[in-house]
Amino acid sequence: MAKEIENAGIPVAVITALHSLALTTGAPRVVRGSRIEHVCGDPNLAPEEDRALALRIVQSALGAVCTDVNEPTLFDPAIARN
Amino acid sequence: MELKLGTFPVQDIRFGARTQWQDGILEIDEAGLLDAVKADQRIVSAELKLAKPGESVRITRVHDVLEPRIKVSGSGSVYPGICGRSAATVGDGRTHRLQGIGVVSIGEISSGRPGGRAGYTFLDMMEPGAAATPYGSLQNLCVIAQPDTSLTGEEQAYALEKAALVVSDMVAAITLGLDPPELEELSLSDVDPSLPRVVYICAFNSPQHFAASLSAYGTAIYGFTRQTPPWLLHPNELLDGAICAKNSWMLVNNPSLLNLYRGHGSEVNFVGCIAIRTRWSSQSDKDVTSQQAAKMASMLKADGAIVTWDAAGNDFLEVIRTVQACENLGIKTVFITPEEHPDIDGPPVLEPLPEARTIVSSGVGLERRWIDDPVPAPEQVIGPADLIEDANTFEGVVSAFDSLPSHRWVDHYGFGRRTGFDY
Repeated sequence: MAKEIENAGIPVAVITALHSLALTTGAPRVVRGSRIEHVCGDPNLAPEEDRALALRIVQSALGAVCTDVNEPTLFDPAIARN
Repeated sequence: MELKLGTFPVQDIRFGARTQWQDGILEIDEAGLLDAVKADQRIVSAELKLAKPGESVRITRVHDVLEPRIKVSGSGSVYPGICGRSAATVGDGRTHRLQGIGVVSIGEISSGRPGGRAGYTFLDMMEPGAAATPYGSLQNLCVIAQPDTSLTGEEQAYALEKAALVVSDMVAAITLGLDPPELEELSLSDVDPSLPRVVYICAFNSPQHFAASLSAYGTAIYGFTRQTPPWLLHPNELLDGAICAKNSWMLVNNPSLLNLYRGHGSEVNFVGCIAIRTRWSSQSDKDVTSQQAAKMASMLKADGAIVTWDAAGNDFLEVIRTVQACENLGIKTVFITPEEHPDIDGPPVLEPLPEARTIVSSGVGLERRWIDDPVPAPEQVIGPADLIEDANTFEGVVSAFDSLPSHRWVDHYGFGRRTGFDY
């Protein structure tokens, strides 16, 4: 789906717990998510920490769609400057 | 570790005055076995039924199938670690088995999903459905037990498993003191060092992901069903049922394992088994599993590996990456896997990695129910007659007395009686 939307000219970032699969199947921008059960957060954290993590992941994804890439590229919210 | 495995073939099974085996005929003391099952306070009611190959019988809500086995000597008990059984290491000494019979555990409980009900699962004893599983060729002793529904889903699941274990143990115990018609000696003895060193890597889904529980019912390794790092196991441990529950009969009769073992010293130098758990929920968990499994294989100085798995979905990642990691360490690896049906319009396997060069297909149509190829209505149903149509949503009910779409069954280990083709 990411590849098809990208082919239509709309930049796509895929947030996923399993970035290796997204990269080998050719998704253009891959954002490292948390876990399969909770890709954009972590219920084991305190609510405000969970929210901060979710924000960081989504901001990283927004940064990714604003970035030109030539090949499947991994974006890591833990280290990204947004 | 040396195992003497004694085999008592069963050609026919019938109810009789006492439980005994003679010349291939197994008699079952129905009342005695039921008393033992009902001695467990968690079991509210229980009955036994027989199902034989070729009969117009459909068995529903199959929870597990056990092969009656028992330790005659050596430490531990068969099917160790589950339902309060000893977790002592098995695989040494002498084990007796009854061949050609399955003790079928039947119940309403969903395995691995507390609160859920068993879904669209059934075994046909008549063709064409009988050919779909090895169980269709067995003399089946069905244990229909009802656990106390006030217990948790997990406790009910273990009570059901225990009920079948009680029956399996009592039936297997009649071989104590008898000389088995066949006796096989199994060990990883020193062999011609020029033979290729081969390891068997088997992967098992853990229910921890679905059940959000460390102790959910599912395929157990010495009782552990939760996610664990890779295990190094002797094949004799597998033959004593160290990996069991859900598909116990298949796991002690696994043709991939047995053929490798029986080639030890003539075709290969079999160096052992590595069991991994699958459906970890993050990339790094999956990667560690794959890397450590391959490292173990390398430390065993394996030249080759055979890899099987028992699940679907994202479990594929740690399995295919185990194949990749083995190949990267110079271990030639054969991967036995089912393929997706071409109708899904995707690749035949979830993540086709170039390192997976040698793949054996164990069937097509992982998620498909064969609507165009129905199985006929049976004359008798053993187990609840209502089948839940959708195992994920627990919605929709169909009658087991009807003609139904073929049941999805994937042959993970090479039991198949169905024909295929090379391509």
